[in-house]
This record gives sequence, structure tokens and C-alpha cells, in this order.
Amino acid sequence: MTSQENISFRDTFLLLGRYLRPEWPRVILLTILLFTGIGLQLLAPQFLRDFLDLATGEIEQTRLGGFTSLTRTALFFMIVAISNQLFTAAAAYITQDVRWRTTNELRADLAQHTMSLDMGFHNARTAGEMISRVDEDVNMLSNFFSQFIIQIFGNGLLIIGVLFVLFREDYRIGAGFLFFVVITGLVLNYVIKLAVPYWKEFFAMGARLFAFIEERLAGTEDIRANGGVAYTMLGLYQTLRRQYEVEQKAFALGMLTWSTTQGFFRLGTALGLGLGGWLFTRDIITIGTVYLVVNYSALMQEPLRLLTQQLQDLQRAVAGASRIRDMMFTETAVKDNTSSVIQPRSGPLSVEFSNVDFEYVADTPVLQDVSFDLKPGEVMGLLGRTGSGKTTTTRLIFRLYEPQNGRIRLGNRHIAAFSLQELRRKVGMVTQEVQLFNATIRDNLTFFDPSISDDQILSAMRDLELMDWFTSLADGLETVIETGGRGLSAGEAQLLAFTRVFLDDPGLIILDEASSRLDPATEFLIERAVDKLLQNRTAIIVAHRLKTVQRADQIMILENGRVKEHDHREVLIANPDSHFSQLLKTGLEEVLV
Amino acid sequence: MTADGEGRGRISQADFEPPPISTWRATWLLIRFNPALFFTDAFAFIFVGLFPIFLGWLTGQIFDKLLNQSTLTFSFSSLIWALIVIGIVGTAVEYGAAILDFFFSFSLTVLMRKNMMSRILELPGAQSLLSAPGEMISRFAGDARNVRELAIQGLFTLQHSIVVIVGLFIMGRIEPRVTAVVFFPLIISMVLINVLRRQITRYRAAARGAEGDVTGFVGEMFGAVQAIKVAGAEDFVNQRFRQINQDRHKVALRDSLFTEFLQTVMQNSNNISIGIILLLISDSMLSGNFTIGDFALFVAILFQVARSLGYFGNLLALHKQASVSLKRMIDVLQGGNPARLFQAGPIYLRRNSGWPDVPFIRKTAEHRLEKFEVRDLTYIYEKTGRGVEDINLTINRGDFVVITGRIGAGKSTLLRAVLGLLPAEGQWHWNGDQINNPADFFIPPRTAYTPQVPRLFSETLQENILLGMPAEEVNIQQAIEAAVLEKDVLDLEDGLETIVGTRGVKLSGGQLQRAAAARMVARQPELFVFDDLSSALDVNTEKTLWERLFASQKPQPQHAAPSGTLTQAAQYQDPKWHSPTCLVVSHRRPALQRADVIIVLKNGRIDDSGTLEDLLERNDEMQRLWQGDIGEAES
Repeated sequence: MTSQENISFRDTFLLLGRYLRPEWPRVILLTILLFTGIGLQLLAPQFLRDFLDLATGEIEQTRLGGFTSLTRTALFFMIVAISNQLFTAAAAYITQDVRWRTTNELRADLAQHTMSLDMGFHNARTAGEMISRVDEDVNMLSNFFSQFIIQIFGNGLLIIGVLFVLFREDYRIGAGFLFFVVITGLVLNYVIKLAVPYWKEFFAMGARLFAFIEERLAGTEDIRANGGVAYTMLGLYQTLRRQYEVEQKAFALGMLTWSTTQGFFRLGTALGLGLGGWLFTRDIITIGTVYLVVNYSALMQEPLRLLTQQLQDLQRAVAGASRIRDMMFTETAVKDNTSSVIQPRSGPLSVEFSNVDFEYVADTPVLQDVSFDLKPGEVMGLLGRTGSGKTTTTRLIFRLYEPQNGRIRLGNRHIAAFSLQELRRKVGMVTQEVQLFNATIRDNLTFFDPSISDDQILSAMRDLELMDWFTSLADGLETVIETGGRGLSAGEAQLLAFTRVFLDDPGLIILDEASSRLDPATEFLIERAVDKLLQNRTAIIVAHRLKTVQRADQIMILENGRVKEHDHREVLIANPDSHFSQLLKTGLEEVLV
Repeated sequence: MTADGEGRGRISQADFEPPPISTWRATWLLIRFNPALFFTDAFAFIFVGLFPIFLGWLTGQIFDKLLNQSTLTFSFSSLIWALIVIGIVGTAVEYGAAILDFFFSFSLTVLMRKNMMSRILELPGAQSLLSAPGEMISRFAGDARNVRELAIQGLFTLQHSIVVIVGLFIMGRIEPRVTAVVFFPLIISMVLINVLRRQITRYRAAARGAEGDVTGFVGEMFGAVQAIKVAGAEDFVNQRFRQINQDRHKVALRDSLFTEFLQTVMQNSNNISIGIILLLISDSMLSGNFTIGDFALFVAILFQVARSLGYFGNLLALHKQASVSLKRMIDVLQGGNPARLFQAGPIYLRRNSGWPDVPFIRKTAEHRLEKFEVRDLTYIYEKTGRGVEDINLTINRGDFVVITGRIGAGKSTLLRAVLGLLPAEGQWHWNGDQINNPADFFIPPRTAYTPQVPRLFSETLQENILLGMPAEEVNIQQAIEAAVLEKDVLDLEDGLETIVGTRGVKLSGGQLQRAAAARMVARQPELFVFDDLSSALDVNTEKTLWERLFASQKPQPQHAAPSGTLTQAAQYQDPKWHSPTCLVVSHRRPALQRADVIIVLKNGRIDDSGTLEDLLERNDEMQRLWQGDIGEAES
């Protein structure tokens, strides 16, 4: 085993320990049920031996309380078998319970952690891939979590128990089976390892298939109307064939483990029969005992199989765990200062950029040497062509990305000094693209924050003059928004986004070309609401169009990631040579920026 | 049990209704996909079922040999050797059978996934999905597996029937009295399961629905991750996620408790009958009519047969559970023939099966647009009651038609309805010919479309633009320039070969729209349809885009003047003949000023239409829209 694998195994068990510990009462109960079950399983064949020895006349029949000893042994056999079944069923139920408890915890932790990762991480992954990693990978671990320790100990103990009983019958039989169990274990261990390299690939392929399907499902309109149907089907076939080739290999090698176990199963019967028959012909044991030996050899087969199955699950668990570990150990490029105490809202906030450089990919600068200073309550209009770095500038304030150089301060405090939650509470944003949940209007507005009351929501809507639209909804705040906001127009979605920000009451507002989706009439409608929103708040308004920045105190024009022009609006207007006043001179919004 | 664990909202009563075709018919359709494979697999299954009985018989003979009661003449040691060799060979055959079965099962899931996907792509594009893509995936994954099990269950049914028949025959010859007893557990469990049938279906549906809730929520959570971060709402979203997980815990546990309970009932009745059989045979054993070898064979068969009977007890429950998944998958087809899910066809799994052709339709004279008319077009969304009504519009070759109106007026709906992306009612006439299936007709090279929020896929930019068109048929450079994307391509690390990342998020909103525009230009359609193309573009870029788009449609050598009537020749001289025909949703001035015809949409109906000048003069709505725009620019 390589050291890399050792690390994976260790981590897998650390993970197990961490999530199983809180479940200890259930684990203890399970252990008790399991051990009782083992005792009963060892007991049942003894009754069969007695039955056969009685029935073949090797032991004298006796009578007790109206039952012959034959009848008695048959009844005892039944009682033992039925109780064993009940214990098994109870154990299975508790196992399921433990399984869901532990994996739900892990799933939620994983989701929480991945969500905290920086946007660079998220931009590289589809939602479909995340579904696979957060849900399917964890499901792979579920069996491991709920059964591994119990099965390994339980079945190990059962095998030891059987060997012990066999030694008691005859040392030669015991020794023979001890040898047999060791060989079986060694061979199985070898075979199991063959499949290990394929499991990780196996999961990666599943994720790829679902990511492919999810993306295409989200783009059916594009595919359909641009004649891409045959091409999409071809892509599906290609992804499926790749998945088949990987899964087939993983399955064939996994199945080899099962078949090897099965083969040893049968060798075990032959061994028991051969050894027992040889001792019987020398009159050392009874025919019932030969049957007992064969029966015990069969009894060992199930735990041997379960042991290997657990070891197989272990491979899958290790593969799943190592993917989870990759994710859990992925550190966000944006370090959170969790020690910061959340301050109550304190009015408008100043914003200061000093010599900020940023690039998404090395050597492709997106922002270079950007500096500006915005006093509390001021409004800055941020202009520039598509791709000039306007949007990136605003994302940096939220620390969705970390600049390579320079400093950003909010309310005279370095933004890294805030906790992320506090920082993001202090800054509100409305973008063109509004992301909505398939949930109620209320949940979409509050982002599932239960502390926001309906009154707060309704008063925010009143401020936005959204009440007319709101009263037209069938179920009020309980109205469920369809997936992807279907049934809502882009404008309505944006009005919801405005309400979200109203509710948050931030000290700095960023409007990222927020109204470009609105038709002029609706845009006019919410102008007053925006006025109210900007009252006593600092704001940055990102725009492609001049008219959006009429209310700005400062104007900054970006070009290719650099500040082309930046000053107070009046100053720029007063200077006839400024780029901005030349734009204004032409008087129309169509003027190039 | 209360209803609160039922999974939120998304489990509708409909999920409990039976699927439109029975699971039996579904099984039959799955078998019919590849009968040769099915029957080969069936032989393998029968071997796997009977082999342990044969081994039991051999073991019994060895016991009898020890007591000198065997009819076999071989020695004890040679019988032991035979047991070893046959055991190993049989195991190897079982292994081969499993590999064969893997291929069989895998190909069935592929078939269903393929058929679901191709049906989805056949449905009107804007209404092809039943639920969130994340939730749909649970139908492609877990439900496809559950339904595939129907065919596998068919194999098991065959296997177990033969095991039961052969087993009962041998047992009956040894000891006829027991045959009746063996049926005891079966009868009990059959009765029980029939009584509990509805519960099983409900619990399974709830469990599957809860699973969809979890995957759907994860998808949305990570789809909206930026918005969540910006709102600082990670904790609340996570709380909700934990809640949804707990709901699934509840329903899944209930589902498995139930299955567990039924299994215990089954196995216990087996144990009781084994005990009873022990009691019944004790007399024959004492009298020597029943040898210990018979007993060994008997027990071997008994376990096999009891297991097989137990399987039949479960069969109904399995069918009930598969029936839930079957319903969920047929729902995906949205009214298509349910048998479509199982429609046989190539699945291209094997290396030697090649790949299907991606047909390319070269533009010819027959695609040429001269006049496109839509009459009485109506589409109303069922849920909101909104939509578009009584739309009539005519587009002549070279027209630039702009649809405008305030939010919610139905502009996007109108475009989708026109293109057949929504199942609208109305008449379509293309050059006077009536079009009966608009969704199949309005595709390149006749029309191409860019939705308001275009989707790119995780492939290279070039693959996204081509979307399967052969590269040599496309002037991709020209398409990129027309879409004002050439600078962006230069800035990309690998140019056109850059993987544009998940959903194209590495591109800005404007780049995304221009990439989608390039995708459209590459198709050289007769009619360009844009939904608010300019919403993420600055004015300069938008203007350049319109100019280049018009320039890109200048006459090209392959578009030789049509020989024919004089009128056609005259038309060819007309500059309009060569400018592109566009149907555009916009409220931006560069588009409105360029328009030959503006259609003002209000509450889903055409309020007015005409040139900008006329409309500004006579139409209030147009004035408001235009004034809204100007009102600010001049303040």
C-alpha cells in the first residue's frame, strides 16, 4: 500500500470517527443486538447436529414433558432462528437511522464548506457536478458510516466464534479451517485491491454524465432553436460510452471479489466434508458432527462475504472520502476573519480603493492600479465598455475574489478585517442576472432568513410600489416561484432583487446595470424607489449608459482595467476637455462611452 | 405518521397515481429492446439458480457414501475432488454471467436516458422541462435504475420459477408431504403485501420525491452561490438544506422500515416452515426411508426454494416501487407516448458501433424567406393566465421588425410562440405555404434564435458556436467578427479552443450574448431572432453589432441571382434583398431607430404597429416607452 493510500485510509477513518461519535447510544444498542445475533447463529447448528444424531439413532431418544427429544430440538431450532431474525431486523432499522443521521450531517457540512469557497472555485464547476459531489459522493459513504465498524467486528467475531467451536469438536478440523480462513483472507485482500484505482474514476464519470445532462437540460431552448439536437444526442452517446467503459472495468474487478468469495465458499464445504468424512470413517466423530462441520463452514461464508463486501465498500468509501476530503481541504482564497464581531448598522460607509491590481488568470490583468475614494453617502457612477472591469471592481468589494495588490477599505476598515458575513451584510447588490430558488416568494426575498417578518417584507414592497403586482399573486408570500424563475419576467425578477436589498438595509449599495432589463416605463416606476434606497447610503452604480448615472456625485470611467478618468461629476462637466463632458455634449445616450 | 415528512410541495398527488402503462408492459418493452441478449442472460440466470441445488445433491451423495447408502460407485475421495472441481468451474461460469448481466442492465438505462433526452429535445424548447434541471437528474439517475430493475426482475422471475419447480419436483419425490408446507410463507406474505400495497407506493414515492428535493436544492444552491454570498445568507440557506435533508431522513427511514418489516415476516415464516419440516421428516429418518444425504439435499433445495418464494413475495412490492419511478419518467415525456421511453434504437455503447451522423443542412433556394406571416397566434401560460393573444404579424424579406413593450407585456413569450418553442395556437405561413409543425420548421438555415439569457455549454468556444456544424462549412471568423467577439477571442487563453467553462460563466454577460450571437450568425439563417440581445451590451458594442450583422449578409457568391421570372430578377436588385431579416425584442433606441416595423405589445396583445415616427405620433404606449428613455437622458 502506498503512503498516499494510507493517508486516504486514515482520513476516511477520521471522517468516520468524527460523524459517528455523536451517535454513540445508537451504536452501543446496535452492538448489543449484533452480539446477541452472533450467539444465536452459533447456537442454531448445534440443534441440527443433535437432530441428525437422534434421527440416525446415534443418540438415544428421550422424552421430556410430552415431547420427544427430536421434537424438542426441532422446536429449539425454530425459536433460535426466529429470534435471530428479529434481532437482525432491529439492527437493520437502527443502522438505517444512523446512516441518515451521520450522512446528513456530513452532507450539510460539505455544502456549507463548499459554499464558503471563493467564486473562482464555483465558476469552474456546474451545479450538476456539485449535486454529484455533495449528494452522491456522500451517499457512497453512507454504508461505510453505518455498518463498517459493526460489520467488521461482528463478522470477525462470528468467524472467531466458529473457529473456536470447531477446535472444540476436533483440533484437526479447527486447524484445517484456521488455515483455510487465513488463505481466503489473503487472496480476497489481493483481489479487492485490483479494483481500487477504478472507483475514483467511476465516480468522476458519474459526475460528468450528470453535469452534461444538467447543462443541456438548462439550454433546451438554445439547442432546439439553433439546430443542435443531433449534436447534443451525439454528446450524450459519447459521455455514456465513456461511462460504460469505466464502470464496466470497475464492475468486472469488483465482481471478481464476489466470485472469489463464492469459490472459497465451495472449497470450504468440500474441506469440511473431506475432513469430517475422514474423521467419521475413523470413528472419531458422529455423522451429525460431520454435518455440523459442513454447516459451520457455510456459516463462515456469509461473514467472510460481508467482510469482503465491507472491504469493497471501504474502497468506494475511500474513493468517496478522498473526493470529499479534496473538497473539505480546498481552502478558499478568501480568508474569513471570524473573530470580528458584527457591528450594528452604522449609516453610510466610505469606500476606498488604493492601487488595486487583480487578475483571474496569471498574467492576464483585469484591473490595474485602480484607486478611488468615496465618502459616506456619495454616489459614484462607474462607466466603461463591456469587459472594461466594472463588474470585477464591484465583486472585489464583496471579497468574492482577492486582489493581488492594493488595498480596499470600507468605512475606514480593511475589508479583510470584517467577517465575510458582516462585510456582505454591509454591502447590497442588484445585478442583471437574478438568481431565484424554486421556493416561496418569501424565501426568495429573505434567503430563508426566518427572522425577517412578513410586515418587513410588505413594507419594503410598498416602498418599491410593488403592491399592485404583489396583490395579483395567488398565494401572496406563499406563492412558489417556479424553477429558474419561469413564469416571471426578467423585470419582475429584478424587482424582487431590489426588494431583497431593501430588506438587507446595507450601508453601501451596488447597482450593476441593474435596470438594463427593465423597459423604460417600469424603470421610471422604480426610480423613486431607488432614490429612497440611496438615501443615506453610499452607492456605486455600474452602467453602460450615461443616463443611469445622473444622480452620481463622482464619475469613474474604466478602460481595459485602468482608470481613464475619475473626478466629481461637476468638475468633469465644468471641464470641456473631459471625456465625460464630451459625452454629455452630444446629449444622447447612444454616445459611445 | 403525519404528512410533514412528505417532502415539501413538490410531491403532488399525481406522483401516487399509477403510470399510464403497467410495469408488466414496461418489462415486456424492456425485454423487446434486445431479446437475444435477454435470453442469453436468462440461460445464465437459470444456471446460477440451479447450480447450488446440484452441489447440494452431490454433497448429499457424499454423506450417503459415508453411511454406505449411496447409489454412486465412485470412491469417497474422488467425490470430494469432483465437488472441488465442479465448484470452481461453476463459479467461473457465474462470473461470466454477471459480466453479461452488467452489459444488459447498463444498456437498458442508456436506452431510457437516451429516449428521455431525445423526447425533451423534441418538446417545445421553452417548456421541455418538468422541473428544475437538478431535480430532473434524479429521474435520469435513480428512477432509470429502478425501472431497469423491471427487466432484471423478469430474469429473476424466470430463474426463481425454475428453481421452485425443479426444487419442488425433487422434494416431492423424496417427501411429498412437505410441498404444501413450503407454500405457507408465500401465502402469508402475498396477503400482507396486497394489504399494504398502497402504503408501499406512497412511502416509496415520498422517498423518491424527497431525494429530488435534495438534489434540486443543491443544484439551486450552487447555481445561485454568488447571490447567496453577496447577501451573506450562507447560514440560512444551509439551515434550509439541513431541513430538507432531515425530511429525506424521515421518509427514507419510513420506507426502509417498511421493507425491513416485510422481509422479516417473510424470513420468519421460512424459518417456521423449516422447523415444521424438521418435525415432519423425523419419523421417516428414524425408519431409514429418509437418508442423511436426502436431508442435506433437502436443506440445500429448501434454502434455494424458500429464497425464491421469498422473492415472489417481494415481487409485487418491487413492481409497486418501480411503478413510482416509471410514472416519474413517463411524466418527463410530457404527454408523449409512454412506450417512447423504451423505444428501441441504437445506443452506441460498443466500441465497434460507431457514432450517429450529425446531419448538416446546407442552405439552398428552398430555404429562402420572402414573406413570413403569423396569424391568430395565441399562447396562455396555464399557471399565471398570462401570455400573448391574437397576434398577427407579417415579415417581408429584409425587414427589421422590433417588438417592444413594458415588462410582462409578453415580448419573450411572443418570440417563443412564433418559433414553436411554446405550444402556441395559430397559423404560420412561410412564403405562403402553411407550416404545420413550427418547432421542427423554424430551425437553421431558416431561422436561428438567441434567448434573453443564452446558455453555453462546457465545451470549447468553437464547439459552442458550431453546435455540431462541420467547421469547414462555416466561416467562423466572420461569425465572430459580426458578433463583435474578435477582441474577446484574442484575450482568451486558448482563443477559440478555450473551454468556456460551466455555463459559460467565465465569460461576462455581454460576452455570453455576443458568443450566442456568433452561434446564430454562423448558421447564416434567413431570419434572425434576438430576444433583447443588447441587455448586457454597451451602446457602442450594440451599434457595431447591428452594423456588422448587416454587412455580413451582403450577397455571397453561392447566392447567385435566382434565374427565373423578371420579378425575381428585379427583386435581386433591391438592396433589401440582401439585408438580413430580423425579428427582435428590444426597447433600446439603436434597435428602435433601425426598425422598419415596430410592434408595440401591451398585456399580451398588439397595441399598435408601424414605423417609429408614426407610432410616436399616435401611440400612447410607444410615447411612454420612448419618453421614459429620453426623460432621463435630458434631465
